[in-house]
Amino acid sequence: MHEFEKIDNMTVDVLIPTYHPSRSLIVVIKRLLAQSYPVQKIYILHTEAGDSTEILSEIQALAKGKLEIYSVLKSNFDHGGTRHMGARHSQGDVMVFLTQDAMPFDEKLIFELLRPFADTKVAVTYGRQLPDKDCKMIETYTRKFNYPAKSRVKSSLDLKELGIKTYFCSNVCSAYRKQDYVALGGFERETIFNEDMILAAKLIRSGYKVAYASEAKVIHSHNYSYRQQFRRNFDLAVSQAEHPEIFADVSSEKEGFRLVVDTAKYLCAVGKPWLIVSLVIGSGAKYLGYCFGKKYKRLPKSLIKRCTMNVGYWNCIR
Amino acid sequence: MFADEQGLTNGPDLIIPSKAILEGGMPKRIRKVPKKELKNRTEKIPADEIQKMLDRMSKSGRPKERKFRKSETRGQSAQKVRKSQNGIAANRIRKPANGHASNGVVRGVKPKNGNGRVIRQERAGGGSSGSHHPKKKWSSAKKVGITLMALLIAFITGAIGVLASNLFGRVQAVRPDTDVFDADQLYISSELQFDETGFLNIALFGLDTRKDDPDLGIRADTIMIASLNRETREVKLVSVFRDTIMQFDDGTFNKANAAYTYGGPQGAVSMLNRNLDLNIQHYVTVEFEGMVRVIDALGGVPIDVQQEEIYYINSFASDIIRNTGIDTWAVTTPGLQMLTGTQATAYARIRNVGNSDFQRAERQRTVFSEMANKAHEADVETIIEIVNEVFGMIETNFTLPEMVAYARQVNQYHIGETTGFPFYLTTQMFLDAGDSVIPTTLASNVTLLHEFLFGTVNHMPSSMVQGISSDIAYLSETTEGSAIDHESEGWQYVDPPIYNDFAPEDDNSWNSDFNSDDPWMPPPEEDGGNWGNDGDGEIGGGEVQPEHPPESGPPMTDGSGSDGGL
Repeated sequence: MHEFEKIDNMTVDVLIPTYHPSRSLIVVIKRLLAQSYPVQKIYILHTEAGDSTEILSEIQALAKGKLEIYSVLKSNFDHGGTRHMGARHSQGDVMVFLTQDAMPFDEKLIFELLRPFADTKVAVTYGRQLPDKDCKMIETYTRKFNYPAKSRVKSSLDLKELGIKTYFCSNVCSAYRKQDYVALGGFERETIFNEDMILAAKLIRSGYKVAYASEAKVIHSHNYSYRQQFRRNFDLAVSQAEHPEIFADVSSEKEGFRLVVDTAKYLCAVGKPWLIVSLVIGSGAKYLGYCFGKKYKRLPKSLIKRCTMNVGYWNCIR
Repeated sequence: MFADEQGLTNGPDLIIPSKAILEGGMPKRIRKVPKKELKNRTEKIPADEIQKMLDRMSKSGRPKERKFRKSETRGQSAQKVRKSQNGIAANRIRKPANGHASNGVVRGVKPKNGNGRVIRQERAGGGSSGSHHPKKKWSSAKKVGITLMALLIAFITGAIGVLASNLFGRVQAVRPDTDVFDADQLYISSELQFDETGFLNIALFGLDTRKDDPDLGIRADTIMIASLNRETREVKLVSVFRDTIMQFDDGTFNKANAAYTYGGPQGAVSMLNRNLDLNIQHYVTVEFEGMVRVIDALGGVPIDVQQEEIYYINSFASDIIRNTGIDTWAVTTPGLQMLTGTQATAYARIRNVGNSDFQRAERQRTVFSEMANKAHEADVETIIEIVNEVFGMIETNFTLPEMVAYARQVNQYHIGETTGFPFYLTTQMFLDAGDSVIPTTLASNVTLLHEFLFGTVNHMPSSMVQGISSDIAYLSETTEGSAIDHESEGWQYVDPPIYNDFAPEDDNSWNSDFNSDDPWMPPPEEDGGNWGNDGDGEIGGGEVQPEHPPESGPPMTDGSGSDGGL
């Protein structure tokens, strides 16, 4: 079957940063090993905290030599730097990044992620995130909004139409062509957040393309509290403020507003308009976090540390 | 902390209720001070002023170096910069925080009657405006729901407003926006062992800007590192080959000479620091004109001109004359001779005789060394005069007093060894950068560089350099073994007509008069050069001129032509 033929004979490594992994990681590894497109090696980038030896040794036994574990000190972890460290070890033509709770939906995940690479200008692809069983209504719609059923290849030509969504890309489930990754210097080190979007933006600006592969599916969703939403958006805005060259001329706010309105419509359509209250509060928290983050340079450090999810980032860098 | 990992990206899912709220609560940013054009800084400083500066300097011993300590926060350095700029500090306006200001207004506006009581203001509409509407029947549940919603929205909007006004009302810190570097942005590796502090490292950039073709942009086609050993008073010079692949601040790879185009002097200096484990905080940039004037002020430099180089010297000289207006005569004979500023600058640009850019970098070091020798011999007064004269023509983050102070010591320093970087290299088409020089490997070359400059044995490259090194090796598929022997590729002579780096704009009209049957005559599209070279090195401007009708020839022919052979 040609469907499962190797695409340009590309070898694929999978890299998963882990932290307090739950037993679901074992299922993730199992599903990766059962992929139709063979995975060459799995790299676990493990942030040391607590005792995870049991799970780690279990997955190591499962993978039979196909798995390597690299340890990172908790104080040294950062989203971009740790993944970049893994990328240095990887020998594959393509590097697939997953998070420990991104559950491959089926055996075609890797193949579907790789398929857009047939276009040599595509440097990164990212997969679709499906809501989990326990996912709340609003978050379900957010997934739907950000990860539609239709695939799309994005290039700089789409900036006018898609705005900031052109740069959208998620390391929850993504694949990078290693040569292009290295040529652009890889993930931003010492970054608080958004290393995936920053690199995607750089790639797009350098003439590469970013592909959204809706057939590459992982199950991954979160039910954030308002406080967590505030903090997430604080960090997100900080990363945007630190990269004005990328984010200054594309507004996230318009897109965010559209999301709220669409979600509200959706909630009415499914007959649960009372959830709009929760939507308004949640959105308010997000926006507030975003406003704070955008102006983080004017905030005292003590306040920043209470707003962020990444206290370590502020301890290390500033 | 790691739990955040999960949802990583969320660019689009944020909300902004209203742009008006944002804009209403935010005072306009304080406008940044426009970047001061260094080129405008041409005013001369009177001799007695300089003497005063020097006196002050000699009291304090060593010239004060304007450096930023790494410990300084951005805000602090920003302030420092502000102060160092003339008069800008005085112009700073403190804006009151928005919230306070508006509170004050509200209090002040409320009119009071004689008893000090606040007069209740009547509403314009008189009675309650709601009374005109037909009353609707609301169920009590609906009423509660709507009230709750309204309260919530009001609360959130209010909270945002208050917070925003508090936040945005603060005075904005102006970031450094001058020729003074921000040390945080210079990529000085924290892993550097500062046993090299006895050295002052300066980056020298030669810009290739053309007045006659500004579209070419700014390219630092000459990149040199001068390392002054304060103890031995020796100066070592390293040319960085301009086509060397290096990593830029944004993580991408490109030729070294492009860094200046994208990042200006700061970008170029931080590129050198980042890729070479150096600690450079000072730079000097010259364009053709500055170079020419310095050499002329020194009385020319002695250069041993090769026969093959004559054509190019004159060819480039005409280009320089066109750009600077500083006239000179044509070089006609080979051998050791004193070259004028224009000629020596032209000589330093030759790249088609010998081993392309490698040889050219060597010529540049030769010219620079000879300049230093000349300066070494000259008396202090002359040097200071030169510095004062050319200071407006160069771009640097040394201050004039600093420059003068160093100039006073110039005869204590001597030029030591010079070399080109990378030591071991290969050439290839690299990604989109084109024909490039690949250091094989960068890490091992950096080790050698530190040995050359500072005598450091077995310098261990920083993790940054090692990372860049392995990335370049990966992308170029090279190893240490891929090095080619560029030194002994030997002296080669490339026929002049191939060279077409500086074709005049009206290229075709130039060549319209050329006799295409002439065997040595270049085909029109390949060479815009107008110099006739009849093979024995005799180039006469006067002979060339009749071939070009005045209306089609750029003025430069007339300039160099009339002076040719004089």
